Amino acid sequence: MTEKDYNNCVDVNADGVFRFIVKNIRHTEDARDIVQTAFEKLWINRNSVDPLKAKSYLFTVAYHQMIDHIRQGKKVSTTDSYDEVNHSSTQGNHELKQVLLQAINELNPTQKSLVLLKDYEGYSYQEIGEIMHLSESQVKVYLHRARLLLKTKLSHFEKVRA
Amino acid sequence: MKVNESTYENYFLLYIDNELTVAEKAAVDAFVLTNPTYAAIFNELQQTKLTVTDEIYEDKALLYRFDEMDAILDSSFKQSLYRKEAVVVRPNFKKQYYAIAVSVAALFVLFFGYQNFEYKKGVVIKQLDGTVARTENEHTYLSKEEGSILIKETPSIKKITQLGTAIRENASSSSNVNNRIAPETDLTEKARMDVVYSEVIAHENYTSAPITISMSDATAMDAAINSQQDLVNEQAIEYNEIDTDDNDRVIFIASFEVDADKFRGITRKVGSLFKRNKN
Repeated sequence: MTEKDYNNCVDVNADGVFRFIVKNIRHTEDARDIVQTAFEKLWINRNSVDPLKAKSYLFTVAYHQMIDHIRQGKKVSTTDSYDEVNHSSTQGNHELKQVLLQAINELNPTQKSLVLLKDYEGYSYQEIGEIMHLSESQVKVYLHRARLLLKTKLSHFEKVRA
Repeated sequence: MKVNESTYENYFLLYIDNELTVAEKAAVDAFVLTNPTYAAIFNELQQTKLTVTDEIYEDKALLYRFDEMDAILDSSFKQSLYRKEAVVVRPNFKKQYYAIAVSVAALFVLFFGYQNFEYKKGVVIKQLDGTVARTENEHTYLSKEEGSILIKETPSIKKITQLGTAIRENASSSSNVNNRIAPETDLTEKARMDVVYSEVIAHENYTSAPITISMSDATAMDAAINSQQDLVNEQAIEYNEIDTDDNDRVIFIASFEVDADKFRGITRKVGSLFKRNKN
């Protein structure tokens, strides 16, 4: 990976990595730190990283940094510093979206990461398995369970609203 | 595998996760259209899919890097980095002084030492213990009498020894020689030693006990008188052991009298100078 490849990787993937982390830990500053650490490691190991797999490398590093962060009990907020639930007064789909985000925050960290990686980044089961060190079938099973759980919560919300 | 009432949920989830082929997706779409009951379930599952938000990482500028290994400074900037240290030449008077002193001392030692060495050649040494020995130079002899006196065997003394030998040979035959140097023996070697000794005594007490030689050979007499005068002029050199405990001690370098303490100080400085230069 050349300097140009690296800087291009910053342009393309920095937002995605940040989004993935901040949605998980819900703390902006910590998410920034994790993103910076991930890119620092990419820069240090740039000679051994294939540019085509740089995105996967970044998400893998960021994910495990985040797991370490969670295990250390650092600032994982449920009500949060990340401002996204405060729009509950809005109507329609936006309200449903907020409910969905709330439901996602109630998933366990693995399910949450699976959903985020799948929906935000569009990774395949195989790629998610590589990032999270899971088998493809595990990814599929855990992700489907998470979807069904979210569906249940959304159905409950729809019934309450109706 | 077909989409039906028992497999629909798995197909719906795979559809949402975008893990189906185009044909499989078409099959799911057809199943949903033909089964409105399952269409509601399909829509609820689709609502669980997150839509991409627009979170922006604001510190991208901090992440950009420039490869230090590829960084090349332009030559003009490099030129501005070069520095030359100003060289200040400081004359080392101390070293120069030492060098001059050492050189002068070496010249003195070489010059006067050589002269002294030449002067010591062929001297007669008379020791207090009375031993008689011949030095390496066959023309020098060691006296057996009192006093530590070094006498150079000059040509005049050599001539006198030859003369003494002649006198003894003459005295033994004619008994007309009356002097101090022919008291008892007729050995040639002994006679030569006695002649030398008599000259030493003459040198020490030449005013009170001059050598008197009565002989018929006037030429030999003149030679004896001349040699006596020569012997008086010869400088007797006495070597004394240096008393290192004496505060007023002096040492002699060639013909110069030098205070021992000062000389020791100079030698130490010179030695340290050479040691420093060696390091």
